[in-house]
Amino acid sequence: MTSTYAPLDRVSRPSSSFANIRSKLSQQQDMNNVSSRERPKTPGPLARGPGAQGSGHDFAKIRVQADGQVPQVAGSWNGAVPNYQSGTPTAAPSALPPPAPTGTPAAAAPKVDKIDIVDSPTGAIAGYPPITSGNLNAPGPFNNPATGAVNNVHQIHFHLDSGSSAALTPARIVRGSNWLGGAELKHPQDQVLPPGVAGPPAPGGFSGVLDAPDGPGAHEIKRPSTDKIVVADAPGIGALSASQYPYVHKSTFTLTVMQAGGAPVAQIQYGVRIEKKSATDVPNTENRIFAISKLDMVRGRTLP
Amino acid sequence: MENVTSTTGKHDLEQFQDSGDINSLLRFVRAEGKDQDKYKDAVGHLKLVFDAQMFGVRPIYENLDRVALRQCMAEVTDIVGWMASSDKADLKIRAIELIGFLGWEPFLPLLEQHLASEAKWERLTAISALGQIASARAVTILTAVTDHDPDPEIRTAAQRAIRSKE
Repeated sequence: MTSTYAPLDRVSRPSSSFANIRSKLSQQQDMNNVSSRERPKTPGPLARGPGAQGSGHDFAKIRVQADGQVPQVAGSWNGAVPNYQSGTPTAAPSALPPPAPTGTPAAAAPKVDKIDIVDSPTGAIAGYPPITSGNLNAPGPFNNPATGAVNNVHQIHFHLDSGSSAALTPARIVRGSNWLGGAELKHPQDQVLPPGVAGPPAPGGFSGVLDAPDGPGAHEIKRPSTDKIVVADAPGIGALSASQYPYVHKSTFTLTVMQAGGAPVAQIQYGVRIEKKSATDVPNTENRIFAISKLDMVRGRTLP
Repeated sequence: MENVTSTTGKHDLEQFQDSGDINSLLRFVRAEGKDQDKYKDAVGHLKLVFDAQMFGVRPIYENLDRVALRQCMAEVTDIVGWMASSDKADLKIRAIELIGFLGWEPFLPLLEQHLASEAKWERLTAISALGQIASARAVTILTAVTDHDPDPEIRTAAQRAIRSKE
């Protein structure tokens, strides 16, 4: 371990620019909305059992702003996507395409003809940096016997048949829950209504109606070639103590790749399920990822 | 640069930087003779960040209490610095994102360090954080990146960060 200790010994109290900072960040907060989709039509996760497939929700969408404003009903899915950029993390999650030299022909618009879930070392790409739990270079179930950690490591490969992967930016949202010893921890949490606003608040978690922006972080994105962009992830838990079993994770992710201007190009929705009943439950009772839908949003078709 | 004074403290800090385990962080603080209660308060205000980190998802920074975090700025600054010094990309990137969310100008020297990283993802995240800090110096740093960085992708990201301030 080569971590260094580098405290900010030069850091002092903030300057008087705080008012401006807070004002600007307040505006930014309005942009970082938590979106939502229609309430799932299936029972909640506790009623569904570990073998349940899919998220139980369709493409109809309702949006709930993080500030508790009235949701906007977007209606049934018609090829358009929510404004994922409003939920994009504050850190620029992806590389941007280099500016096109002037006087040259316009680059071909990026199109995706295939989306693959890679959940084993076969077909995985390398070069991801180390993370606290799991190895993004080695997809598949991950267990750490020393800490009890369990993760589902995976890579989502978008293959382009036109244009360049450099022109694509990914955005991911999540709706999920973790159960530790039967106690549910929701992500996102239930909506908190401002004082004076009538309820009920929109529920969060796996069986709720809210989504949370989930990056991806720039460390999770790779473009191994001009015709491929890969987004890795490792949901799960970084440590488990004896009292926290059984551990259950259920989540639905929506990952969209977009052009720089925000136009969606392709999208995959997928579920992750993990169940680890005890420290010795390795291989886990359940630890898998599955596709719910794959869409070519330029040509308006589903993808293999 | 502050030094770690005890072997135990160093081990605990490394454990925190390896796993994000806040108990290791608090043990380190205690071993170093710092005011543990103040750091506990700071960790409490950052709880949603560490919870999300533990579950491998992005924290919803907007739900953090900026006022409370400002009241324990010294401790938060230390903790973010220790996270940012981790070798683990997810912990490091949370620190940089947190810096961007907090928008505290005193973090600029740390962001400049991340801008010098060999890892492009680290530079891109630092550029995004710089774009969130309302400071003339942040603009100066971003302009220098735009003018001089050899990587067009980095230059474009810096241009976008500058535009976001306008």
